[in-house]
Amino acid sequence: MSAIFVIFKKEVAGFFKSPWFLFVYSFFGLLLGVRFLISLDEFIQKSMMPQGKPPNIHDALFIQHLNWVYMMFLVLIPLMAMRLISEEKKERTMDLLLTSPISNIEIVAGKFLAAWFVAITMLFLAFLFPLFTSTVSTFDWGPLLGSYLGMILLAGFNVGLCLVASSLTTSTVMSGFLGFIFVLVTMVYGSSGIQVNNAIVSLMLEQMSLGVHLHDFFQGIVNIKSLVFLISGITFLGFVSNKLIEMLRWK
Amino acid sequence: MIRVQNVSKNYGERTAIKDLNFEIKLGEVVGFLGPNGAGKTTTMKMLTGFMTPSSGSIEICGFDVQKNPIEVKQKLGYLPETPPLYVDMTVGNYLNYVADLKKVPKAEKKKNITEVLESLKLTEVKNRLIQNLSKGFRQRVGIAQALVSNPEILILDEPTVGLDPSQVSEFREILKVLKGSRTIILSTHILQEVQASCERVIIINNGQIVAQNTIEELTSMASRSHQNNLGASIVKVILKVNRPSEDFKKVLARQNYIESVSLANSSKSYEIICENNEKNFESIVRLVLDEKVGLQEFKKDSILLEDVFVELTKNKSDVSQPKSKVPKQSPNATLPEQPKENLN
Repeated sequence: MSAIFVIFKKEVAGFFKSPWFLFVYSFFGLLLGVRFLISLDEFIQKSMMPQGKPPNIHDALFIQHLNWVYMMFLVLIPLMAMRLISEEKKERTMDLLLTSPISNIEIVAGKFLAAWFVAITMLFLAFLFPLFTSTVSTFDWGPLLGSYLGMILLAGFNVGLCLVASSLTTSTVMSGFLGFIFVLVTMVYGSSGIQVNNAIVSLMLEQMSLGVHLHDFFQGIVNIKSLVFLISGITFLGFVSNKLIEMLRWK
Repeated sequence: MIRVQNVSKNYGERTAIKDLNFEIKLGEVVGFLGPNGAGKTTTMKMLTGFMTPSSGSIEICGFDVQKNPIEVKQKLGYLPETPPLYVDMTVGNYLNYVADLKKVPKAEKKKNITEVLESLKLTEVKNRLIQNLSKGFRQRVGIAQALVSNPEILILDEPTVGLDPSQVSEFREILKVLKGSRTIILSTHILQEVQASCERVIIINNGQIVAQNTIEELTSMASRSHQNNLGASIVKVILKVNRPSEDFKKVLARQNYIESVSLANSSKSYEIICENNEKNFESIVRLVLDEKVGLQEFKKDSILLEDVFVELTKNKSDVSQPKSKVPKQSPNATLPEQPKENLN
C-alpha cells in the first residue's frame, strides 16, 4: 500500500471519527439546506414578477448557493486543516512519520489529499441541491459543473494554504488562525485586486488573483490558463509544506 | 553494521555533539550512557535519520543515513523519548497504521502485530483507546510500535522513564527476549539499566564520547582504580550507629588498616575506606561494640561502576567553549586512574 494512501486513509478516518468534526459537518449540511430553501424562495418570487426578464437559475440560485459554501469554507478549511501537521509536531508523532521509510512528499501529499477529499465531500453535499432541482427544472449543466470544478480547485488551494500554516507552528490554534488569515488575504485580494499604473504589472496581478480565475469557472468557462494557475498554485503550496517539514530535520 | 564517523551537530552557536566516532556490530546490545543533556537523544535522532548531522557520516547496514534514508529506516525500529502515540486511536489500529507506514508486507503484518501484542502483554488492551491507558501501558505501546516491523536494529531512547519498578523489571525481561536476534541501542542516564541489559557501554558527556567498553572491562578498570599505594584492593564501608561522635571518628582514624573516615551527621553514618578484607570488617565491628556506640548498619558499598560514571561525566567544560579547555579523549579511552582522594 502506498504511503500516501496509508496517511490519507488514517486522516480521513480521523475526520469522520471525530464527534466534533461530525457536528460541524452536519451543521454545514443543515445551513446549506436552510440557505438553499431561502434562495429558492427568493428565486421563485423573482420569477413570478410580471415585469422584467426572469432571472437565470444559475446566477440567481446556484451561484448564490455556492457563494455560501465559499464563505463557509473560509472558516471550515482552516478548522479542518489546522491540526494536520502542527498536531503531529506537538504530540511528537512527527518522530514516527520522519523515522518511517517514507518521504516527506508522501507525508504532505497524504495529508493534503485527505483534507481536500473531505472538502470535496462537502462540495458534493452542496451539489446535491442543484442535482435534486434538476428533477423539477431544466437548466444548462455546463456552468454548474464548471462552477463546482472551480470550487474543488479553490478548496484545494485553500487546503494548501492551511497546510503551510500548519507546518509553520506547533500550536493548533495558531495554525488555524494563520490558515484563516492566509485564506482571507487571498480571498480579499482575489475579489478586489490591486490597482497599479503599469499595464504589465497590473495584468500580472490580475492573473494572479483567484477571483479572476474563479469568475471564469463560475461562468462555465474552463480555461487551461486557470487550470494551470490553480494546479501549479496547489503544487507550489505542497512544495512549501514539504520544505518546512524538511527543515525540522535541521533544527 | 552501524558506523558513526566524525559526526557533529550544532544548534546555532551551541555544539551539541562533537566528533562522535563509534561502531556497533550486528547483534550487539549497546548502552548509551550519559547525564541529562549530554547529547544522547540528539545522537539517537541522527542515527534514525530524523535529524541531519552538521558534519560527518552515519552508515547503517552499508547504507548512508543521509543518502539512502528509506533503506535505512526500513531496518530501524525507534522509540523516542516521548512515545509517538495517536491517543485517539485504539492500540490495534495504531499498530496497524505503524505497520503500514513501515511497509510491512501484508502477509506478515497480522502475525507481527499479534506477536508484538502478546510479547508485550497488550492483547487485552488491543481495542482500547490509547488515551485511556496508563503511562506504563503507553510506554509498552511505544515499544510495540518500534517492534512491529520486526526491525534488525532497535533504538530505544530512555525506554524506562516513567515506569514503576515492576514495569522496569518487566521491560528488562522483554529486552532479554529481544537480545541476540537484534542490534539494540539503549540510551539512558540510569546506570543500573545498562548494567542489567547491555553488553557494551558508550559513555557520552557534553557531546563527546568519554569511554566505550564492555561492562566487564569497565568494572574491572573501576576496581583497578580502587587500589591503594600497595596495590591492595580497597573498599568503601558505610557504618551507621546510634550515637555518632567525633571521638569515635578519631578512634576509627587511628586504626592503621583504615585509610580514611568521614562522618555524615545527618545520616549518623561513617564512610570508611579500608582494604577489602574480612579481618578489617571484623575489627571495625569489634570497635563499634567496644565503644558502645550502638551498631545500626554495616555495609560494603558496591558503587564501583557508578563512581566511574560520576568521575567520567563530572567537571567537564561545555563543548561549546573554546577547544583548548576541552581535554580531547580518544573514543577508546581507557578510564582515567581515579585518584584515591576522590573516594574520601
